[in-house]
Amino acid sequence: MASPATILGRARGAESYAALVWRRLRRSIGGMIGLALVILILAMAIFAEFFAPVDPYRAETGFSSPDTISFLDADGGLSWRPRIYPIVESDKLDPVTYQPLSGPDFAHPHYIGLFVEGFSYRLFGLIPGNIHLFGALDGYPAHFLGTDKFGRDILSRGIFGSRISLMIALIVVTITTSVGTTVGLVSGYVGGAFDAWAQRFVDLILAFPQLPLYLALTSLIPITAPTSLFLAFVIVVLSALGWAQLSREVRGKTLALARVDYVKAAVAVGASDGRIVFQHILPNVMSHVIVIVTLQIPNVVLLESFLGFLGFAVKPPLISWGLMLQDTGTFSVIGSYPWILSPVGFVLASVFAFNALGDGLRDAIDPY
Amino acid sequence: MLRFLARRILAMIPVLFVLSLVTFVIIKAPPGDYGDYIRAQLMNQGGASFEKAEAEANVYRRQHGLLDPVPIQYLHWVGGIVTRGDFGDSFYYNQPVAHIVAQRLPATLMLALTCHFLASLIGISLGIVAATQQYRWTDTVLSAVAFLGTTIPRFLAAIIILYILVFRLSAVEVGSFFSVEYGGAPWSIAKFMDLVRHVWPVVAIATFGGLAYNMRVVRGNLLDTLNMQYVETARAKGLSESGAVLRHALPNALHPLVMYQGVVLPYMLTGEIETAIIFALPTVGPAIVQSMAVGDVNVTATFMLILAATLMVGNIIADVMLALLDPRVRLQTAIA
Repeated sequence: MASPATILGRARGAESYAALVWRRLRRSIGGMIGLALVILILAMAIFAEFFAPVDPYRAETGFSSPDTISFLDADGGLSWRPRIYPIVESDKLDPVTYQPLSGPDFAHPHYIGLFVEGFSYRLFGLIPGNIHLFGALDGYPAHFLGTDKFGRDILSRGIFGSRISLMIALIVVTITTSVGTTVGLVSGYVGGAFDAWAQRFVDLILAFPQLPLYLALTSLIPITAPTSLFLAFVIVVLSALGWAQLSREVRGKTLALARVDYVKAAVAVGASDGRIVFQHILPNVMSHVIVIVTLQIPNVVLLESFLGFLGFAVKPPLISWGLMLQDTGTFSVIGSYPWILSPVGFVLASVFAFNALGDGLRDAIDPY
Repeated sequence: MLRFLARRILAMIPVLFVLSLVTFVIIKAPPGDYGDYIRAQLMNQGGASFEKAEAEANVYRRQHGLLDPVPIQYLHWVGGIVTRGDFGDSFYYNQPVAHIVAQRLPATLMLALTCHFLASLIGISLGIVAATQQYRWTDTVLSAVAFLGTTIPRFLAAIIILYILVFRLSAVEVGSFFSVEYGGAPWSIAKFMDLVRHVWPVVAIATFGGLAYNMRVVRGNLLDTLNMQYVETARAKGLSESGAVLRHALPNALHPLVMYQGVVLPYMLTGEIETAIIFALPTVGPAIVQSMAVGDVNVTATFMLILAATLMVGNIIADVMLALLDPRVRLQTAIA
């Protein structure tokens, strides 16, 4: 039994690895900005109903331009209350085209506020509510980023889309890292013929031109599959190739670690293979794996949105950023309605956030 | 050295073989073939009834062996490559696949190599600057640039640049290498400038990402070697700072970069493919997407095979360069 003095001594002495990493991460500005943004984005995905001002399925006029927030009152004076002037058609006609002229209706502003009542929802399917972070006070569906071709609010769809996009990314990265780490560990630790064959297989996967292969794989998904099955297929396709590079890296580290003195010592005292792998090798590989996870998430988000841009995304009742980018493939559409490019902003923000965090972590995991 | 080369090249063959098999099967697995495209075209454009169009499509399928079982089709295709160097015919373009490859692959490789060259040159120079100016503002700025370069998604950058070019700056010619008037013209400086005007967005986007990677690697390695004793010795014996850095520190910092070229190549190639798809340049990327959409299986499979072979050759070149550069590696491969 350890005496209280030794326990105290331990607690005061060496700091835990996690604490050391955190201490270094805290000093990296980029990493902290990334962390804050990641938390914000995850919160946005989890509480999408609260953050989205308008029901993402509510359809109105297609391709209506973004409502601009104005701080000017009807006389042109400054006012502290943000508001939206709805665009309405007047009875005046354009002298050239004879189209009715439209312009802001200064008489009927919609004031914007925080924590306003809007469409009702059930958070997680359980908690009923109708409070939204921001929106028009009178329930007017304000489209801060305009609407898509079916007249649905792009901002709200982007906020809801983060759910599916990030969920796909998280699941895909979970799969690829577990497979990659396992294959790498086993291959590096067992060695011999198994290692040789596993590495030839990894060679093969790495030799594939990735993007065309993803495209080919996506065409395997039966278009008639039900939504949830389709989503599962998407996840499988996106996980198909990503594990290979990681397994190569983990194998290299395992090979190096297997020669380290403490592993040799563990072998000498007769520790089982499982114990050596889980107690001595895996913890030393983990930090690298965690960094790869953070850096892989944005890659999957990007891949999903790029495949979406090329016409392949989740099925419509679900909303994802890739799906929202599907319409941007046509020049004429983005030429006339440039605001439908705004889902790009969501993708960019999350890519930046995860990459900044990953970079910070990479510098921080080696505190010794 | 020659034995090492020969072994590496021979090792490519089984990988390419399995790769071609997998690719072919994946492309063939979903229902539908080029016959369906013909049928759809006949019905939509020619106003034919379903039965008539289907009959026409079946004639085409029989003529081009599309009704054979997939293994037979595969053997046919691979047999042609191995025995005659014939990659089969493209259904959509109605000409041998080899012609399409000859039209598009050089352009892709030239673009990718240009990007690669620029990325290495600029990346290494900026890496040297960043490492020698460590913790000063230049280093900070360059680190920020490197972060942007590695994170800005290339296809999003391409979409945005395309939007600005077409709708804000009213560029009329996108999706080609040359303006109309240079179509069949012989090479001249004016034609070259015209080419630059058309491809700079693709080159710029692909280069930016690559140079950021190179810069990071060079900066990291150079910082390590700058602390080495031989660099200190070089300074002590009176070499100028630039002499010490360029003659003594840099060569030793470069070889991880050379090793890294094998990884960078696929990155540059995908970058070129991604941006070319968006700019619809007549290179390999759009050809793959297009051929996949209509079920032009020979074209898709051939391009996949060639891209894979390019990547592997790139890796071998990187290994050879490394061996030439670093006696330690040379010794190892000689022993192994």
